[in-house]
Amino acid sequence: MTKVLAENIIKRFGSVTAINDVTIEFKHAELTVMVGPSGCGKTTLLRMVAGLEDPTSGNIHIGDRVVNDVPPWHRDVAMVFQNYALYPHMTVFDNIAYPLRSRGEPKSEIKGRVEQTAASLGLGHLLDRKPRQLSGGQMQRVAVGRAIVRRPGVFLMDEPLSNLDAKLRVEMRAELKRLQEDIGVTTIYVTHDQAEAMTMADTLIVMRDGVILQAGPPQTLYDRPDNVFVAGFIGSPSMNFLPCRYEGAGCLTGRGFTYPVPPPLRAPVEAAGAQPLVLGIRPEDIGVNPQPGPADTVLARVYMLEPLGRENLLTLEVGDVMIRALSGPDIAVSLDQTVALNFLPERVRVFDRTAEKALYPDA
Amino acid sequence: MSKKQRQRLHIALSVVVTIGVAFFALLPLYWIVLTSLKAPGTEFRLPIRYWPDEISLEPYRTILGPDFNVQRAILNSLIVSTVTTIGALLLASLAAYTIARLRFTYKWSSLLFIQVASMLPPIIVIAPTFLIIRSMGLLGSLPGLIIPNMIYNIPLSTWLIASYFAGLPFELEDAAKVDGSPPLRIFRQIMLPLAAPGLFSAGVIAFLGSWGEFMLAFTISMGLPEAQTIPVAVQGYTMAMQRQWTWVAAAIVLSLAPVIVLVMVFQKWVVQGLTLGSAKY
Ligand SMILES: Nc1ncnc2c1ncn2[C@@H]1O[C@H](COP(=O)(O)OP(=O)(O)OP(=O)(O)O)[C@@H](O)[C@H]1O
Ligand SMILES: [Mg+2]
Repeated sequence: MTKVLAENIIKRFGSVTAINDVTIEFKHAELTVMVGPSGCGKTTLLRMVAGLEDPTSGNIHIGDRVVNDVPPWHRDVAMVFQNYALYPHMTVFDNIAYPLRSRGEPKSEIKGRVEQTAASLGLGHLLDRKPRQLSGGQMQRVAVGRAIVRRPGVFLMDEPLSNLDAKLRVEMRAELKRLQEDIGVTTIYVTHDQAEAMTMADTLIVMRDGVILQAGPPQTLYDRPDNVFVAGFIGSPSMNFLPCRYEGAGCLTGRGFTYPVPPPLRAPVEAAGAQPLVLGIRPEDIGVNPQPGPADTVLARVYMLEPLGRENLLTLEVGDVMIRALSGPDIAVSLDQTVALNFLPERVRVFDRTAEKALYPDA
Repeated sequence: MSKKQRQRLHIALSVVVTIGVAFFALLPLYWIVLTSLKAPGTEFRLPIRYWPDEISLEPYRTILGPDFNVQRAILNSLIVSTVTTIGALLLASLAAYTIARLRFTYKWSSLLFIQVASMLPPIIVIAPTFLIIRSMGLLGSLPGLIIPNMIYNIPLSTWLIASYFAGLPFELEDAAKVDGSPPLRIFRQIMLPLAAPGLFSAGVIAFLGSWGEFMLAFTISMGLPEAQTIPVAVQGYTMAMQRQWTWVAAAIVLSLAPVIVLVMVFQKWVVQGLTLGSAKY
């Protein structure tokens, strides 16, 4: 059992607080994805698990022991670095073989392992090259190879696929996920790619400014975000936010629209009273009706229409707020036309605008 | 003038200047070689000839013979220079790694401070060095030469190697740590190979420096042939033996040979190491 536990971790660099009291468990054999804006502390947290950075306070556990005082070379982790960090004077083969050699694996075994790993990453023909003779995507795959050639207790992967072309990235993420499941290694995976986050994660963690905002299964974060930031960060195109207030009579009112509060949300919204609120709705949960009727309460002006092939992405102006909606490919609207919007009531989320917290019936 | 013409002119000028400088540098060398190939007693014959009339290997035969035994001095020089170079590189690279990587205040000023040691004129340190070597009982021996030579070379070597280490990304060491290597192994397997150009240039400088060093070698050797390096031996030839300049010239040519071979073999590295700023790995 190699679960990883970060316990009350604080990390400061001089006056900068990179990690601000984080407690999180990375479960055994699970793949945990960390996302968050640039500079929120993802790499710093990985480096502390690897032992490359000492926490200012708090404990790192790997398996059953506290590893704060265990140096990286005794921690049994493998890491893919954000900027590859390949050994420039070694060939691809020697780079991938390095972790095996430095742990004294038998020579006969090393050759087979390296070749097999290289082949699985499409690097078989590059084994004799030096890193500077490789493209960015190839270097990144060597970096991945150097990590997965071993069977460590923990994988730490810092944006391991960021430099690959779209097609290769999709292939490789399936490959990595499959490998991770096959060998059941506890994995912490950092990415900026929404699709990677959603498809690969057993647990998804959203960070901001050195704190964890929410952690859970990706679908939960998608469906039931705890706060405005998570709601806006997960999903692409991202959730729309319409500032509004509850003005009694069961309706949310914002500039240019009123919307009846969905029944399950009535109690929490009423409890919030006259607080400034935000209505959140995802682009795919908006129905666009080109012929508004007298009963429609949310009207919008078509600002832009972008065909994506399978569907159309509409940019719409509600009051003075721009929102986006996904519609079928054959919708007939013209620019500046007024349309009516139907929000799927069970998909509408309401947030407290000041506290940025989501309002849920059972909370 | 078009851009192309200007480029041509530029190249032509560089070639002319290079040839000029090379001419002045090589002329004495040529003269020495010429002299070493003349029959003893003919070296001052007038008018001056810039071309050998007949080649005589007599000076070489004499100088390698039992009376002079120049091989012994060359061997001594090789031992002193090689051991000095290896020792200086070893100590300097460890010091350089510390300065380039550990975090402590005044680290770059400490590097500057180390340089002071190499800036003192040799004449100032020669007397104390002599006393120290004497108290160690190493006068008239090769170790007595090697130790101070090594110490003189450490400052510049440290400087060169430290600049090299400082240019290497930290992530490489991080990667190697995670890959299971403790620091000393990382130093050996990752850092040293990547600093090879810096090591080579520092090494060549240390080697050439101790090869040509005279004052210290003269003082420490105490006139004993078994502790004389080639510059000291050659100087001895000019004092004794009826001053046969052909013999001296032959000894000088022999003493230059290993150095020329060394520079030619490591030419690429020397140039790379001396243009540290543009170092790419
Ligand atoms: N060695 C350091 N010295 C000083 N500040 C640092 C150091 N390393 C990181 N930081 C700071 O800590 C914060 C977190 O950095 P970190 O690299 O963990 O971000 P990240 O989430 O990985 O960002 P990205 O997505 O851009 O990779 C940043 O504000 C960064 O400037
Ligand atoms: Mg990062």
